[in-house]
Amino acid sequence: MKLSSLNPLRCDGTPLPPPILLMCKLIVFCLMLRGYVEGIPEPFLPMLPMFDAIPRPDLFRQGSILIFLCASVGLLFNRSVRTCALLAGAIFLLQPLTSRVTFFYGNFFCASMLILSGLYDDRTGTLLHRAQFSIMYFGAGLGKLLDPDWHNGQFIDFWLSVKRPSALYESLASGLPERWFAGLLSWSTIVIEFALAIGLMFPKISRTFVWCAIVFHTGSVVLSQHDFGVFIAALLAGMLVFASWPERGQVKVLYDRGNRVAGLMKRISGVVHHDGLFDWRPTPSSDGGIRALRMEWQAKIYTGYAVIQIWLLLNPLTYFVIATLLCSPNLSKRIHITLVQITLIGGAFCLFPWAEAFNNLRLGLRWIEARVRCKSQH
Amino acid sequence: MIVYARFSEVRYFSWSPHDVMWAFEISVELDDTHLTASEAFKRYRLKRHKFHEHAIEHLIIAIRQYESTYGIDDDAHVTLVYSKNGGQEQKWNWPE
Repeated sequence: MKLSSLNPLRCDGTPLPPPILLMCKLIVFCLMLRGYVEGIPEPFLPMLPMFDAIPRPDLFRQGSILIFLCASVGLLFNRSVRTCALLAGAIFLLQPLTSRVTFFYGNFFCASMLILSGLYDDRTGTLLHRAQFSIMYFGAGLGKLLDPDWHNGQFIDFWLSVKRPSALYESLASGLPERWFAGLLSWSTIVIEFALAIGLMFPKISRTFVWCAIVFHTGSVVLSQHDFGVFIAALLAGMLVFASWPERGQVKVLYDRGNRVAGLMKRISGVVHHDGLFDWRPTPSSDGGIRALRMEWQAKIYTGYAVIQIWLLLNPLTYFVIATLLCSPNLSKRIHITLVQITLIGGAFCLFPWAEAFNNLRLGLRWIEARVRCKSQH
Repeated sequence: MIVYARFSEVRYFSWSPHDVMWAFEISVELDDTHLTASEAFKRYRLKRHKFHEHAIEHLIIAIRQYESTYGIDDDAHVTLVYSKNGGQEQKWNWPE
């Protein structure tokens, strides 16, 4: 056993694809950081009566915590990752079955993603994970669509005026007719959830919908000033199943030795990138045709800031930093929610593929222009 | 479970997160003693909140299960007053 394979920042060389293993690591990391593990209950008012027959509920709880911690250590240090994912997920799935008052969708989502990762098979790939996302958004959308309180904005208005009074909501809604803004938010939520349920099922278009989901959930956090427990962090980690991940040495980076930023990235990469994804190749400074940084991956060429974005997105440390900020323990509620909002907005802003989006927008506008011209000529 | 939830008040595992908000109060009487709010929450091991974010039926099922098993000898009288999304108040009593 090589010592380097025990590095938590390494995600290759296991039966799980790197993004799925990274997702599992992040989920258990967030659960531990937010204190959900201590919250694993003793059997009490179980959904399945057989759990009432356990003679020592305290030992059952301690055993569950121990199994979860061992499985988490296994996942973080790349040991028997599929078994560990299955065990960690099973502990959280068992939680509401042993104590119905501890049923929460955040925990259930974490359990599902871990169990599906434990059941991962190369033949089906990420199909089950994608289906899980689709089912979740479909269920959420359908529930809202069939509830009259979502048709007229009653839920949103009550939530953001009484349950979690939001100054932002009040100020946005005050200039509009009564409940108009709440109704708009309700219907946009329903439409977005159905769109996500469909869009995330198809790998070709899922990337766009991943960003839609990130913007949608960031918006709900900002508007409600609520962090939704571990759910948002786990959901963002879960989005990794939609990521394209290169093989070792597949990302070719051409860099100018004389450039400071490039040199710094190369040095940091040596410390934090342990999967060897990047193939760094220096170019002579005199080569005016090549910029200071150029990346080649998946038959595409990236330059400038886009290189830094991909470098960050393919770096497990980026996700651990984001997870730590989202699940920061022992902070006052106000500081915590401010930190969560800054992380979500800042993270999305820094990592959003602006260049690609603007390029696609430009192409789209050109296409429309061409169609209009063609019609006017006819 | 998503389909089942459309025909039932119970919403466990049905992927209907955060679509309803119940304001509620529990009052419990044991013999002639009235439990304080915190004692009532402790009795059912509920988190001390004024709002319940899942189906209210989940709360009712938990109280019913407790009072008909662990607390069967207490002869408790429970009143749950609740309202959905700020709407009209409703009441549920144990024994039913």
